[in-house]
Amino acid sequence: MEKLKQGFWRKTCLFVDRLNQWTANVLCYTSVVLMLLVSYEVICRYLLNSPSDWSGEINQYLLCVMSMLGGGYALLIDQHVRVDIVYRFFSPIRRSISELATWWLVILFALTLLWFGGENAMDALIMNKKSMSLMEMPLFPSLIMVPIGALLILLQALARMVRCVLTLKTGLDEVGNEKSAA
Amino acid sequence: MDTGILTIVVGLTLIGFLVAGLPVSFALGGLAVLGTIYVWGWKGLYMIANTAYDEGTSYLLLAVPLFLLMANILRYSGLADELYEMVYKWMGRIPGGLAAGTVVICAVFAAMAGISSVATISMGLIALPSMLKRGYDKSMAVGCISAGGALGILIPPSIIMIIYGAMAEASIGQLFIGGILPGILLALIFCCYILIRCALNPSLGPPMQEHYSFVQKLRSTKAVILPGLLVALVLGVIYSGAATPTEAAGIGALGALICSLIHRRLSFQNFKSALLSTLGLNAMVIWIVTGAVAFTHVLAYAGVSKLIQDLILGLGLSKWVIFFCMQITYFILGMFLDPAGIIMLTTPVFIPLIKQLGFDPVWFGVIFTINMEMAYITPPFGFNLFIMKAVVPPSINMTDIYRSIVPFVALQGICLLICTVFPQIVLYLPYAMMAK
Repeated sequence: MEKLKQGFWRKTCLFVDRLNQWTANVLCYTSVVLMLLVSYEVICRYLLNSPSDWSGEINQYLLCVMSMLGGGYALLIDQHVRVDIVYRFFSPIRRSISELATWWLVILFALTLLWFGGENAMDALIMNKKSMSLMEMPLFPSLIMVPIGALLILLQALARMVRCVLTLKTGLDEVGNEKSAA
Repeated sequence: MDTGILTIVVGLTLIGFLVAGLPVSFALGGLAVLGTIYVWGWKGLYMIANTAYDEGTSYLLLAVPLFLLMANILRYSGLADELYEMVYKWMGRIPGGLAAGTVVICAVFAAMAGISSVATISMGLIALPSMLKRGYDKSMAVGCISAGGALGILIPPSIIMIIYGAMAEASIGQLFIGGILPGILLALIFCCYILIRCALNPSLGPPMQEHYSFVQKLRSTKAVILPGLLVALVLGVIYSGAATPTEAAGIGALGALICSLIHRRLSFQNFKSALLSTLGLNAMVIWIVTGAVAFTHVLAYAGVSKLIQDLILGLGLSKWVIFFCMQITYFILGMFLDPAGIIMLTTPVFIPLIKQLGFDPVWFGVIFTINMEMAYITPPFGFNLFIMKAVVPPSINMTDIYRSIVPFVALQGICLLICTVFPQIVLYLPYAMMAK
């Protein structure tokens, strides 16, 4: 019974990893689109002498998509800056204890963004809010990125905490698996 | 609760979370949530969601993914190999020539890439084996690459300057232009040091015997054409005011892509990994800014920033003593933390303080960046040292790497001092740019 349960948790964690990896695989092309749009805008302005009025705003929304949704992936590949003066010298067990004692703060942060960011996005949808520029683009699609990104971070952080619990149970370094999975 | 007690509680909690290994972005963001509930109540939490959205759609930060993309593509462009071949042919016969040439290549790369890892990895893979084979002293070979690579953040473009500019509300264009002369100065200091030491003791960097004809040398010089164009394009449009740093970043990334296509070096696999690396680093930057901005709001509203400021100003110290203490703080933090994290942790207190003391924010930003150059190579956790460890042969251990950077840190300190005493070095070009 115990083993079956652990198998379930490990599979769930792996699923979260794959979700964020998959999101990143799709999302990474956004930067190429950004590059092309920004270059296009400059070319329009100088060579064709007709500045485009839409690309600037679109670019900002694209940045929002790739930054918000990329947060979970950055967590997966352990890209977020942290201080590992002490942490580095911990054994896997002590790392797990210290992570379980602190990572709830990440969960709290992600939940806040999920809830309140979600409410902002829903407001925009219901009231059909539009941007203040000439374009009058609907704000909902970009606002919804905040809660979705927060959800991806939340899932990855939860997966990490589950792995910490598994580490405490088995005594093996389960958290380290995250990197090899990526 | 009294503001004083609050300050101490917040400070200690933050340190506790950071030491336990929690990512800086989420430690700041999470504490901002707790602080918001305490200061404003539940309703205030909308502000945090808005902060995330505002930073995510910031026009200034749009330059970050584009410069990252440019840097990551340059890694696979083959430009580094060509430049090294040129250095090899022209400077190989001078004692220490390869090491000095490596610094020059690093400076050229720094002018194209906004992060330090590109030049460090490229030169670690290309120049290091070559120098070791020619009998260069390992301290010299390893040190010049770690220190040269760090030039990436001082010579524009620079991701660190973008983050600083966004937080301190200083012009990013001016910061970029202000970094040019100090960057060249630092590269020159490195080169002089290497050449003088090797001239006094040629065993550190023995000259090679191979001889190349003038035509062969001249032919290798075509390597500078593409990088030269790219640098001129990116910095030229910023300096002339023709385009914003964001637009320059977009054009630069496109230029880098074209360069790599010309050299036929960019496989789809490499391209994909460049894109993924861009995505991860960009998300890291935006989330750390989000966390820090939210945290700064709370501290400012609760009066913590003002309390610390008044406390420091109330000591009645001269502004140069405070400046010196700030630099020492940066230096110590730099041993343990990434520059992006340092900006975020110190912003709430330091930025208002420098404005109140009457320092020029652009000048201070450049000085800060020079200090962060040291952060990249100071043990125990200098970023470039770990890159070097990954590329050096097994015969070189971490202690050798630590030892190799000592003279270079001292030289960076000298550069910082020079730019402090002669602020014109930093400010001449930005003022000239503004005067146009």
